[in-house]
Amino acid sequence: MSSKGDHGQGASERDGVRDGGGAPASGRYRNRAGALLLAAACGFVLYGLFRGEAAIVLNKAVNICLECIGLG
Amino acid sequence: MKMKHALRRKLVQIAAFGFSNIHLTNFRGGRIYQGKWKQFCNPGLNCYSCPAAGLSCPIGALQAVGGSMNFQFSFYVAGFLLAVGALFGRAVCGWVCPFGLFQELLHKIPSPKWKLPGWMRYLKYGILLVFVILLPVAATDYMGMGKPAFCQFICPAGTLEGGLPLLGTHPELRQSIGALFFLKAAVLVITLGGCVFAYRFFCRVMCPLGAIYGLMNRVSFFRLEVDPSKCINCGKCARECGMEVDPVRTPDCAECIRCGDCARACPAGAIRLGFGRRYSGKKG
Ligand code: SF4
Ligand code: SF4
Repeated sequence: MSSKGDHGQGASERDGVRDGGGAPASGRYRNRAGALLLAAACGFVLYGLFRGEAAIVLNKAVNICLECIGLG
Repeated sequence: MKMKHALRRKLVQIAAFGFSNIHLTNFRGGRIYQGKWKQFCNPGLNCYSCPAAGLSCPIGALQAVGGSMNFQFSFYVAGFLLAVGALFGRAVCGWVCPFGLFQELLHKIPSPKWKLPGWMRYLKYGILLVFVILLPVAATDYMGMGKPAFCQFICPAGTLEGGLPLLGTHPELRQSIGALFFLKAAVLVITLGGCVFAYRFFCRVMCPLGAIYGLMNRVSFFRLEVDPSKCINCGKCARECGMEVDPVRTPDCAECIRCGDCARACPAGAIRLGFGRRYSGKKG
């Protein structure tokens, strides 16, 4: 048992794999991937707007969502 | 300086909480905001059936479009999440998500504090896949419409922010309370209890939005870097991290919410959070 700020995790434990993936990506690969994703994201948003998805989101959000409040 | 960082993050979190829930007067009378701003998504988790909410919940919106008659996938919402994730990664969780702030406050309640078994973090990916992506599209009625399964069976934010205030102010809604409501109330109680005992229990185990942003920590422009020439390998950063991440080993771990607590704890000033890359990665 431990609190935030005291997880009782020593340097030796740090050698084991306990926090999953996430080793640093190389800088250039990372920047390219980020830029590519950002460009794709902008395309997605524009395409979604063109298809009229924003209206569906608005319509759902301005009415009480019965599923959200546990009745649906 | 260290105090200043903690205070700055709290202030940003409080400001984001206020911005997300700007229509406070709607709690009186149990109305929800119905203006045009609701076609835009909030970067963090905030139920759109909360009377105070001014924007849409992105997870609710994703399911709403996926379960609609005409579409099975929302490019609009997915694009928004990809853009936010590519820019900030899971810093959204650490800095602007209203439900994240709420969980941090719950964790301040004095009690024994627990670590979580490592496998529990993977549950949120299953929840994202099954309840947010598959079920709203696959489980449809005769008109081809699906229900937002995450909202329906799990989301404790919806029960807390939307359910309780609206049911409290609408007697006619209370008449429809049934098994589903009790299921969601049970999930809410487990979540709230979990957050008291384990730091950000919901974020780490259940949140599909955190799962999406977390995966993007590897490519986001906002990043955490450790300067290997300064790091003395003392392990203080990992001990300080509430999300149980070791930033030296895995700076882009999907669990890291970019809160900066590790950077504050580092006696060598080796950890940096920000945009762009500064350290070469060479020891030296
Ligand atoms: S994991 Fe979910 S609830 Fe937690 S801070 Fe991130 S978006 Fe908010
Ligand atoms: S590794 Fe650092 S920035 Fe990331 S969650 Fe842990 S303390 Fe916060």
